[in-house]
Amino acid sequence: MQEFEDVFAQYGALLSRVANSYEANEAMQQELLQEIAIAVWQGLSRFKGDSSVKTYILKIAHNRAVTHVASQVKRLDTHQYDHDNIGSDGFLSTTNSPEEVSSQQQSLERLLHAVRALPLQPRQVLTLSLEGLSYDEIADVCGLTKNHVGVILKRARHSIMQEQPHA
Amino acid sequence: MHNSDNEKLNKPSEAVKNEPNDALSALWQAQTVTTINLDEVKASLGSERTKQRWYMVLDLLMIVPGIYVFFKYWDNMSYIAQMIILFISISSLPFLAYQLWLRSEAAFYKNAQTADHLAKLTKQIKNNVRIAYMTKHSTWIGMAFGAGLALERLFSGELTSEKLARMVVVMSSISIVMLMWYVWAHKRQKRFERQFETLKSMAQQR
Repeated sequence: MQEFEDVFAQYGALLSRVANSYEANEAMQQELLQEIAIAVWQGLSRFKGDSSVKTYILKIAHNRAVTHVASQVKRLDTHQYDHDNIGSDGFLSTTNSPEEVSSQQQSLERLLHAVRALPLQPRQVLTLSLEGLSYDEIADVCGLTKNHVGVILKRARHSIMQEQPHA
Repeated sequence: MHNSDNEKLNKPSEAVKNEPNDALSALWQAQTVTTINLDEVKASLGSERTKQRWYMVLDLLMIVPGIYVFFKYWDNMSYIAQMIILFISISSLPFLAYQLWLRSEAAFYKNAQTADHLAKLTKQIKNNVRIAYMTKHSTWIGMAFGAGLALERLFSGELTSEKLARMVVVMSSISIVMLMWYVWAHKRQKRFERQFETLKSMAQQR
């Protein structure tokens, strides 16, 4: 039990960022994070040490997020959230003047918005890369070849840099 | 909670080669994150397990009425009635097996690669569309079988007028339930179709 708690203490933020990359709405992010945490908890009991814990839980987290996105069609189209300019977290609210939000927050808003607008595969490859995973690890999580990861990552970064010219 | 945990970017040698961990990574890592409520996770996990077990028990209980009819009235049934009951019982077994398999799949999350997971999930949702479609149409087919069974008993002289009147009431009540079941299954079918389309487009966007 303590082992599980240690994993969540260590990788909680990582899992939260996975949820953030799929959902823009704060309530939905929390719901997805909770779903991911449950899935990871269940999955950890079957962890055999074939890969790093980080890679292992990232696979589970992304799979759970994919299932979540599919299941959301019964409620609201997830893409509706993705392109919603008025997030409940206020990140993308147009009511705040530029002076009210820091420059980093603005950059983050643009980054998150651009990441969520990416199709699944580039989004996943890019975010895993931003979490510091190697090509091999990304290929292992996504089920791609190493070369394919390179191509997708290059395109995704190019797409993101168009939104983040100063990053 | 900001990124205060101790998982940080890997060392340059472990990180993506030829891609400098630029400002984009730093910006990504700096985003606001939510703390996982472990007590809530434990509680949800427990209730989820209990719920899944109850669903499995309910799935299994669905065949009990069939088994009861099978053993209780088998000798009193005509050959046609026996065949109808046998057909319904046998055809429901694969559904039961599939339903139990789906539940066991849902109960244990696997660390499959995302591409495999997506393919498997898409296939599963496609099967769910088929099952919802079959469930929907099984309502009126079941009613047709029921009516056939009643007519068979009527023409073989097994039904008195009193029994016939009772049967009409029973059949009418079942029809209402079946109609509601039909609508429910139709809605499920449409929902699974939307999920299937979403997954298909996710898989196609490369």
